[in-house]
Amino acid sequence: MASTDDQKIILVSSDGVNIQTDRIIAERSMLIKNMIEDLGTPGEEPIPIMNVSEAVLRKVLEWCDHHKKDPPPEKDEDAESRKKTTDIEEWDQKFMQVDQEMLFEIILAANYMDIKALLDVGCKTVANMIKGKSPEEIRKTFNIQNDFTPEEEEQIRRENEWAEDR
Amino acid sequence: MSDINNLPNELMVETFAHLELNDLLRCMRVNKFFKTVTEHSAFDKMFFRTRFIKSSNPINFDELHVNPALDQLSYMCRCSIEDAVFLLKDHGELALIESIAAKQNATEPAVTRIIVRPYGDPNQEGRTESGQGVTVQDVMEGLCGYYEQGTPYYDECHYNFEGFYKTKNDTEDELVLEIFWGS
Repeated sequence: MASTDDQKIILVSSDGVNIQTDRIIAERSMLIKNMIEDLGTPGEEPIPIMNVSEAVLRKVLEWCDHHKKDPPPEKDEDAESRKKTTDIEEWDQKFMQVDQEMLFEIILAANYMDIKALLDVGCKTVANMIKGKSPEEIRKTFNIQNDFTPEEEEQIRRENEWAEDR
Repeated sequence: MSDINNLPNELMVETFAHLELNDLLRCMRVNKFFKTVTEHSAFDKMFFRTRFIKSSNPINFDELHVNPALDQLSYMCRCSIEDAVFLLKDHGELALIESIAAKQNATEPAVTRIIVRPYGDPNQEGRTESGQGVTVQDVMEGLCGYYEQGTPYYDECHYNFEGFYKTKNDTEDELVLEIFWGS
């Protein structure tokens, strides 16, 4: 039996493009890992990734390739404290230097493909873009429409004023 | 076109989980969608709004947080609840009852009974109870009621409020807060 390390599999993007990759890379995705286990015949049948376009899938696989040797995530003993930090390792920071459309596509793909660590990096990247910004700056950053009346916004600001920036 | 506006709620919650309180407060003002995300139960602890859940365990003293709002209130004894205010950075005031803090739990996790003990004197106790979990406003109302009775010999004090402190003899669902005043 061939070692799973050098087994090849084929993924099919939502726009119908076949992408060949190593099984060990693709299995960073729990969705793919489970599909391969269910199919039982890895490599023979192309695996459709319905919600992810070719460009995004290639990007996601680039991340999976770099992280293919990562140890499995530790148990959630420390989940609370880990959550609060927005530290991102250097390679991941560079990887996430993409336009916003791609950034959110990666997050959606990581969620759909069940790649917890990549989803985490994506959410942290967005959190870092929010940190320390005023509501107006946040709106500008993400092109968000303010649907509050000035009175409603002032009311929320006022109710919370005591707690801010302490 | 993917952008933050069509990120599903659960992924927004995941993202906001990396933010500190100050950032969440600013997010509340961005738009209605952002505000809805901050209302998710994942942030209940941060905003002192978890529902009281009866537990068979005694309060874990070390893990119990007193709402910081209580430490930031300014209050003169014998005044009414309307006069409990936050002093703001711009030297303005915000009445407790107009702030979001009023309806927040006094503690996290919530408790059903808080005994306020001015100057830590066990002979001078006021009680505040609520089956839903005692709120910041409950505590202050309890304190106002206590001073209105007019009996304590600290009656004549007109000092600024200094803060609440947890004491060690807390039991199941019940918390003793010692209150001190500064001049």
